Amino acid sequence: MTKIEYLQRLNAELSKNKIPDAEDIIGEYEQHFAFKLADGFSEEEIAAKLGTPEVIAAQFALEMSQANTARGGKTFIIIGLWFAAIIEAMIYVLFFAWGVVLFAASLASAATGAALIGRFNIAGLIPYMPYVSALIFGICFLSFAVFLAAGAYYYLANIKQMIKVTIRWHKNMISGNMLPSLPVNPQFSAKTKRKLRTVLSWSVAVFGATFVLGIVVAQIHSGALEFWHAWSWFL
Amino acid sequence: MNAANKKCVLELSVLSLLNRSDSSGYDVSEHLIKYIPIAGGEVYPILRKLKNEGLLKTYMRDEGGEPPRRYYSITQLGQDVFFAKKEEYLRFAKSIEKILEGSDYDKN
Repeated sequence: MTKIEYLQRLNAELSKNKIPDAEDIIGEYEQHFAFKLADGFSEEEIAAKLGTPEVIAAQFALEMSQANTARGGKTFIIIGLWFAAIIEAMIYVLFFAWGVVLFAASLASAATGAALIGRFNIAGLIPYMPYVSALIFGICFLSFAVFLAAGAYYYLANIKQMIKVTIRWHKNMISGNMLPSLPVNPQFSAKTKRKLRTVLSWSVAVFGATFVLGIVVAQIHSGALEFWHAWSWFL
Repeated sequence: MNAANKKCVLELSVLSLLNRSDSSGYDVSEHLIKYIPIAGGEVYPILRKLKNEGLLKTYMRDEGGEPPRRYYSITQLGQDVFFAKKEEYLRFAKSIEKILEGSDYDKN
């Protein structure tokens, strides 16, 4: 079979199988002939080694039919994924909002602690107490602020990882390729993990200790168990 | 386990070659038939399939004088898929090797 014969038969087979962009394909095989001819092979030899046009065209047809069936099923998958994405987005916005709330609570706690220690009584919001109590409660609020901030950080890292896992899942569903799924837990370095654990446990310990100590000191100072009544906080 | 059949192995090999450098379809075909018993023309349907799946893209490269040649390059998605499938295949091949060698199968 000569080059012309081969390409004509291939073209005929491709159009019989309704393969799109047949010209591109023919171009590739023409290029193949050109290289082989330059290497000194005869047209017959080259054509024999390429595989028969019928077999080649059948392979293109096979790839195409597979792609088509995959795409047909995919429409439903993609519609389903869109609905899933809407719900996921709403859930993640909600989760993210909770992280913001945690950070805000941390800031508020820090501000209260600073006001107690620095004796800023803004708009008379802080009730009467001796400075000793204010100092202890101030530290208590500050450590609580640190605890909340570290907690919020950990929480948001979890959300971020969850979003990543979801996106990977979506990608796999659409492409049909199985990329390995991601771990659900946030991936901190060992150093960050140690730091986070130290900060969390110390802030909880300091918070607990100063909270109890603050109440006891206030009770002793005011001479009453319910020191808030003795100092008439709620009048 | 779909890495086991010949078609998947061929696709994996094509991705591996293009992951190293951009090549024309002819270069890919010439390299593969050195190792794998297929006809030279059977590589082009694979390239086209991978391109349709978005794992490869093509561009024309001008090489002075000659008509421009079509080159294939791997996409980011193609790379991701390549590394995942490579792992999968190597694990599978290792297991089969163990079974065939029968090194840890003792009948008592």
